[in-house]
Amino acid sequence: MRFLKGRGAYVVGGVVVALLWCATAALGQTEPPAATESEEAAEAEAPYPQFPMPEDPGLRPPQDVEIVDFPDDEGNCLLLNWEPSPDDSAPARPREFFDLKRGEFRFMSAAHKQQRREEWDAAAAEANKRERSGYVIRRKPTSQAEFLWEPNGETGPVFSPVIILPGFRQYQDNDFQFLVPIGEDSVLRGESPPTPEELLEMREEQSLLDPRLTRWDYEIRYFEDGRMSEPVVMANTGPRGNYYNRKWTNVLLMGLVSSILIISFIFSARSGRELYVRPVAGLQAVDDAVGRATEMGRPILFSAGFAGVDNISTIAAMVILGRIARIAAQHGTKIIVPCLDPVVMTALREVVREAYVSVGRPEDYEEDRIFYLTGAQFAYAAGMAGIMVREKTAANFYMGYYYAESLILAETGFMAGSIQIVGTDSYTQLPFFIVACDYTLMGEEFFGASAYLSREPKLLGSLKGQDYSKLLIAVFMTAAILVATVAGLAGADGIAEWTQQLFQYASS
Amino acid sequence: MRKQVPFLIATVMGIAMVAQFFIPTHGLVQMQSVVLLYGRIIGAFALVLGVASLIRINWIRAKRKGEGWTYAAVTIIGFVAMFLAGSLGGFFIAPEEPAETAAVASESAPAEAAVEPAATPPQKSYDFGAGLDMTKNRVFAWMFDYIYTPMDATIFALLAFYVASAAYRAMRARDLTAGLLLGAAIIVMLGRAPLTSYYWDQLISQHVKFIPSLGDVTEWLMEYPNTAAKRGVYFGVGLAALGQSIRILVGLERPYMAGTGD
Repeated sequence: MRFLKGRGAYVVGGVVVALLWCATAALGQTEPPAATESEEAAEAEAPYPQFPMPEDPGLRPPQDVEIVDFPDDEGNCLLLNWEPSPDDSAPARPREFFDLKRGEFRFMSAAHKQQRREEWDAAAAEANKRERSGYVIRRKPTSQAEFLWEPNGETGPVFSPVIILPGFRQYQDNDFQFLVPIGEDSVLRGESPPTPEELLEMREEQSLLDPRLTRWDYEIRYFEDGRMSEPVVMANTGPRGNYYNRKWTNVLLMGLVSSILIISFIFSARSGRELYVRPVAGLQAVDDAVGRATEMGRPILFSAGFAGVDNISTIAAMVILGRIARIAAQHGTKIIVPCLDPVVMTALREVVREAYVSVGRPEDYEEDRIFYLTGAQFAYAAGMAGIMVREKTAANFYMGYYYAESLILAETGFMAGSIQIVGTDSYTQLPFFIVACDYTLMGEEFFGASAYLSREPKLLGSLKGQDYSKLLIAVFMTAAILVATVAGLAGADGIAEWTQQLFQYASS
Repeated sequence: MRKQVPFLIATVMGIAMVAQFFIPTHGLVQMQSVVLLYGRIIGAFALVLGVASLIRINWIRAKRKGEGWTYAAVTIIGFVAMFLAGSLGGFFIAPEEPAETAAVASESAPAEAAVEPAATPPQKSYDFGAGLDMTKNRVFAWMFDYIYTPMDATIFALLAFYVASAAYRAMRARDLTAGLLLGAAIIVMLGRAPLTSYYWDQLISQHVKFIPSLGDVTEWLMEYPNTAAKRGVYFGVGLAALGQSIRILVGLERPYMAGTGD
């Protein structure tokens, strides 16, 4: 039993844990429930509806059909609204996308939505299964003579009929945005480019695909048990773009208020008033880190993150690099900047060059110190780790947006004995950086680093403006939470829902 | 002019890109698409500069046989090999045979109206486009699948060990807050692992009513305290990014002017 002492115990323990793990996974596997006989029979009885079906004048069509342009969009979506056919036995569903009467988007809580959807789906599926009923919608360009059930290759593009479950009262037709001009589609498929004659023909067809150049006709029918009603036709309609997106009004208001606060503090800072900014340990350590590298005679390593030059965090990293490079140039410390993105590389080269020029040492600038390493994520991490170990960097700066490779960089730097200062807005990597690095600038500290390091009054004023904006948001949210809580407890669901909508915006 | 023109361009384009969120007209949406396309084109040209920098630095290092010159040599060899495999791989791909066009004769069509088979285009000896098609360029695909991908996965796999070593260093109950962090970390780690979660439920929570399931506690920790802290960081990041953007738009910070002495 001597092997159970020391390392042997760990090995045996690990094997036992692994076996138990596998056993647990095996025990956790369950067979999916088999379909009951009645469900299988129901599926066999009710095939998918086939169109066209014979028209039945006795079957009543949907009522009060209207077509509305989808609000607050680019002009590539239409809403069809209707009242259910009197022959539709399924419970009527509310219009979830946009409530025309209230003129707003309906936001229900996720749990409420899920519950209601399950109830309606069950009722609609039951009605559908029993009667095979629903609505069928067709669309055609106004210039086309007839609605078609299938494409015939002669009269231009035909759109497949859309089948809607019973009980539904709204259909959002956004098929416009997915239409690709045929010429581009063929090139994307790798085929030969079209001849001039084919291009001319495609251009005519393309006009049919462009919602801004085409008028459309819609037809909606109710069908049941292999029969369909007479159609309700809405002719000569089309989507149109809107000049203002109302869904983002709350974002616009808050953005304007914050911007006004920031700008006003920038202007007030010019008056010379002393502005207090709380000490940030990571920013105070920048000078110390560069000094440490100078004393040890070892280089500084700087990484600008994994985002492109269009990302605000990369721009913030560029500004910070300018400050660090200036200090390094003054002290004569070597700085190494491996880059993931070649565009970022060219920008960082200019930043470092200017830093050396500004302190009067242009001859010390070495362009090869800022170089393109690789564009692959983990290859970059491996390359950075190799540089840290080989060059024995004394100070590592990670400024920008990072992904999964963050811990590889941080741990390797820790093992190499470097002092590490991180500034990032990637909240998923913050825990890893906090654990492995000496100083971490989280989010707003990272973006405020340029103001903090330069101590310019106007830049510090913008920090004050940000802080007051945050205070305003906190007060506003606290008030809204209190109102929503009291309204919910008092049974005033309308007020609670309205309060919730203040903080929501539709992503589409 | 050297200072005003870049500032105007940056400010006008910045405001236009923000306005596109609030003014959903087709023109502005298309403008955003075009700007992003231009960015990709510029990136493609910048890639030439990046690759030139990469080759130059590693060539000098390999030539001088300084410290770590073997890594520089491997870098150059790997780059050249992948480049040649991708660009010249078309020579080794058999061109596709043109589909034979059969004469179609229907019952109603008269005999003299038989369709002549279409003329077959000449076979291509080299296919540029197929060089980078991984389904056709087997050399390139082999190098990517059996050299690059395993190395990428290896570095990714190192993360597990780095997490363990970082957690071992960080999880020390020095004070109350560190102790709370340690406790929460232990609960979440045990709750996420299927083994411990399963045995906790089977042996403890199913028999003792007031002890909740480990999975439920883990979900509560992730959904409420963790989300609250995360959203606090979101607010800070969002406002700070707004502040940074305003500083750039009004010209207080001009990172785009680097190299011009401003």
